[in-house]
Amino acid sequence: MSKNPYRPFKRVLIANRGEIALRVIRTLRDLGLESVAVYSDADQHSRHRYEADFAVRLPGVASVDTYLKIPALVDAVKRSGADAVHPGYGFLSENGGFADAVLAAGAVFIGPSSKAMDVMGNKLHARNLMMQHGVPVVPGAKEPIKDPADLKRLAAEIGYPMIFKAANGGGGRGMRVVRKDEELDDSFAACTREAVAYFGSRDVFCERYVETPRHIEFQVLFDSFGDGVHLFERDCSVQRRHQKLFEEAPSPFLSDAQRMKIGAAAVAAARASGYCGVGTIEFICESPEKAYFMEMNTRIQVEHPVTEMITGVDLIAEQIRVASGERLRFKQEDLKIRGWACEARINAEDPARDFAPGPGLVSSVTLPQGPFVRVDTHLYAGYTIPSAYDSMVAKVITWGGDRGEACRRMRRALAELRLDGVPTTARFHEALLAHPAFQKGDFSTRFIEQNATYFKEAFAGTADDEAVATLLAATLKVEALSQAPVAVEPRSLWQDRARLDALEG
Amino acid sequence: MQWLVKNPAGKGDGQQVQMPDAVVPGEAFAPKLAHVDAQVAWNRTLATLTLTGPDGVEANVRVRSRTLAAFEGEAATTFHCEYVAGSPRGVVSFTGTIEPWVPGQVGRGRAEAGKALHVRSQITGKVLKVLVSVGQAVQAGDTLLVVEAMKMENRIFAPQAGQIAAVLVKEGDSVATGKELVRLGNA
Repeated sequence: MSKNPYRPFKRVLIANRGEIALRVIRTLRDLGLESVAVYSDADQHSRHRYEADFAVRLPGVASVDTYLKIPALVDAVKRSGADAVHPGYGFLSENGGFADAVLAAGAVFIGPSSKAMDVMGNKLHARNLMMQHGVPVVPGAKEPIKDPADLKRLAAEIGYPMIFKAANGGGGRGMRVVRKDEELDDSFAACTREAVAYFGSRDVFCERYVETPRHIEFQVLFDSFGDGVHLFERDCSVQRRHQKLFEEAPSPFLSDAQRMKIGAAAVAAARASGYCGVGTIEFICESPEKAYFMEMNTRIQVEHPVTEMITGVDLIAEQIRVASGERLRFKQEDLKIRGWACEARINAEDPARDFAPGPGLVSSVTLPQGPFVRVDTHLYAGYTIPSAYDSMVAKVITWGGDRGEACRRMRRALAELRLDGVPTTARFHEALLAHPAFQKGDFSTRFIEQNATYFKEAFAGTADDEAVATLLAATLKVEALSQAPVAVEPRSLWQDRARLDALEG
Repeated sequence: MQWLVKNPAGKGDGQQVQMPDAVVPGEAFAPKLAHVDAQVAWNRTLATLTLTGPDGVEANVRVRSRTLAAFEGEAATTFHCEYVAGSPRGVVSFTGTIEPWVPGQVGRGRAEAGKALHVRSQITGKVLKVLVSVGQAVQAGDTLLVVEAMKMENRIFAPQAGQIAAVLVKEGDSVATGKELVRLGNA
């Protein structure tokens, strides 16, 4: 196993963009380290380019030509003299080849070894490793299915509903749910075809399918000496098509005893893979007593701030410290949950139109402020959200003494948010927070699907004061028509952008 | 100028409002709204509409987000606004159309004989699939095209039944928001 050399860093390159690049730059500054940003041509006006101490251009627009192009990033590491690389999330953050290329270039990869990533990358390997270490997994097969004749016997053992999974699969693909004997052969054949086509291996295994699970994940942190802790759980059950929308910590689903039991299993799981850095062990929970290992994410997660809010730990700072060879600065018993935190992902998507993305010019932005509110975003007035990348543009995080207080603060914060020019998912979160079942903590990963009518009605025009709505519509229309600039009015942002573009040719 | 505001999902559909031709930020004006007379002022920078009552108390309506979509040759502007008002202050959304009021007009003309409907891209992206051809009859809700943007496939639906009069893009084309994709005639 290749170990990161033990030495503190001077300059860290962030192989990412958007809010997470800014998030990392801020912690680097807190630690007294220099930052290097990389930016594609579509991101030439992005904030992370200008916020960093140094920046290197990645020519091109598409992800494959820029943030996913290992030679270009390694070149940027060498040219900028960075001695460490933070991968953020997404892009190359879980790519063992990138981790190795960074090490070969003489810099430290802030993350686990490529070996630990590979162990966790194969679902069946990860599953068997967990079983060996006493971590509960969903009942199912231990090996790839070799003979279709075995299917009936396996189905009888495991019981319906059952799910076929490609061993190398991911991202919600290469999976088939089976509910009766007659579907077995066809579903197995289809899943094998997908496994070969998308994941380059015909290995397919099966396990029981949990119908209405909670998605609960444990944050772990390990140093390179094999010491590790968990920082409790996050509940990410509010999802739409496997995309998380709203997260909270802790989970309203678990008791303290259950929390410490699953947490210990998560630490055992990470230790089993020889892990170093921050990671997340995902569990699906049928009931608080039945939590099964699902997979491990070997990177920082989008929703890490909720854990930071309830523990007071800057996860990125600790991630950088352990990568530089420092020992963990605290033990499990030093960590306590304080209050409750929740996070609403603000995507440039329109909930009323099936969450269709709406990239474009953000003409004005007002971010929520006030007590116990945190906003992580790369937005600014005059910024054009590019269509080439992800639609998430901000994360609103609130803290409260209990779940109700955190959620009420979230509603206050969302009402303060102002974003002109693009649609946002703020309305979705408001509808979610108003739902009685959600308020009671009674929800699963199928919540949005099961409440489709409720959300549809919430997203339709709901102005209850027709007079005010009419007045606003007319005012905004007349304002849009009166284009002639008033003497005191600042120059339009459109003009600024046009001038900037002309200067840069 | 007199405007007609329509909110298909709202209660008082087809409200009329008389507005001055220009709104000077910060300066109060008195629009005529149905039977209500109100003194209002618009703060552009803070996107807040202030309504002053007869007792001198000001009520603030703050706009959180707004989208206006107006296209050449179409009188109506599609309108979406989210605003914060009321007590406790909550966010209200409003979707509809606004157009110059013409005496005798009841609302937005839909699929009048011989009149075509423009189906436009509501996103900037790339045309992945064109699923209809000229002359084909479609029902409301049928998928016409698939446009890819932000790593997602977005289906463009027929807003009403009709016959495809023209297909103005082909697979692989890049389209901007507002680009006309398909023209829909009467069936």
